[in-house]
Amino acid sequence: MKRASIAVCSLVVVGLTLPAHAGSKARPLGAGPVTSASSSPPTARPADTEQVLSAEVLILHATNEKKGIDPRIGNLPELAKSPFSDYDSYQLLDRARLPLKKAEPQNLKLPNGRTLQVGLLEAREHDSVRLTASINRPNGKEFLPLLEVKAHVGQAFIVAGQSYKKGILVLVIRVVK
Amino acid sequence: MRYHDGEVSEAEARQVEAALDREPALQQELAAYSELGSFVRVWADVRSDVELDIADDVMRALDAAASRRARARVQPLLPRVATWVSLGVAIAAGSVLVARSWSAPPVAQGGGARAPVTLDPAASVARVAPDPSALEPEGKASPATIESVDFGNSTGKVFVVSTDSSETPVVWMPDDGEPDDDDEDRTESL
Repeated sequence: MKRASIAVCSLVVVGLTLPAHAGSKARPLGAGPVTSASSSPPTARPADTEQVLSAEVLILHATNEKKGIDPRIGNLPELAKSPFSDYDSYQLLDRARLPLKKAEPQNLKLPNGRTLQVGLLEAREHDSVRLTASINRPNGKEFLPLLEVKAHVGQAFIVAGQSYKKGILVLVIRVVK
Repeated sequence: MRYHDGEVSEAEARQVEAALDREPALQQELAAYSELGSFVRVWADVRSDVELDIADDVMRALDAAASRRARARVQPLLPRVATWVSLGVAIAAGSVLVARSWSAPPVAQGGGARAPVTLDPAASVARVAPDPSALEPEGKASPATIESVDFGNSTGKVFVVSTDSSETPVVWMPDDGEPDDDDEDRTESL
């Protein structure tokens, strides 16, 4: 029985110690740079992924001018969801395809004079990439200094909110082949 | 060899004996056969003695082991059962504790901000784009993941817009009111 008691005590001690250790890995949330919990190590980098994938950028102008949604935008159900549904009109201002090449960030001039820069951080397996986006003002000041996104082909993310002509700009950035 | 073993006829025996009289080498060979036979007989006797001793030893060892096992079975089993039951309970409790600790949600922590980031309380779907492997519902395409964002001197929100077919992370950055130096219209028709 003495051995059993020792075993029980040791396992309870281990069980009480492990939660504290696991809790130390909790990712900080809230104000500040938001970092994904998944920091998986880089996997193989197929060379052809860098050559094939691009970032397709839709520049939309959201207003409340009761013009509806520009049919050239295509199927974008996010526009019917809040906060995009706060605007009743979406017009496609520009559509650009920026090739994702490592160490060669691509610039796209925005209608408000700012510059969107998109770069490839890492090409991963299964048509997955890690890319960066930033927006700079014409005077060189940064508006959105850095955004790092991991996405597969077909996945999109949106950068929105910049004031423009009684409305806002909505940038839909999608990884495409 | 056959002559030595007595397996030849009388005529053959006479021929062999005549040859033995003539050739001393043949006599030596015959003597060697005799020695070899003696050695084999002695070795066989020794081996049979040894095997008999080993068998006795083995039987004695088996008897001793059987008696020890019998004595062991007589000992009470209750302490051993209690030991194993206690160990099982302890392992189960430890496993539950570990599983609960690993499945617990991360604790929100502040600090380490590069820039002020306002998270939208209304956008409770996710403050950060969820990891696709962890939060992807069936039938929906896994969303892109915003791994890091630096709003600089501006304020912004990060949330996910969920539709029937997809979940799209959104970085919402309203202008801070600071006019750009170059504010002319560059709209171009497609």
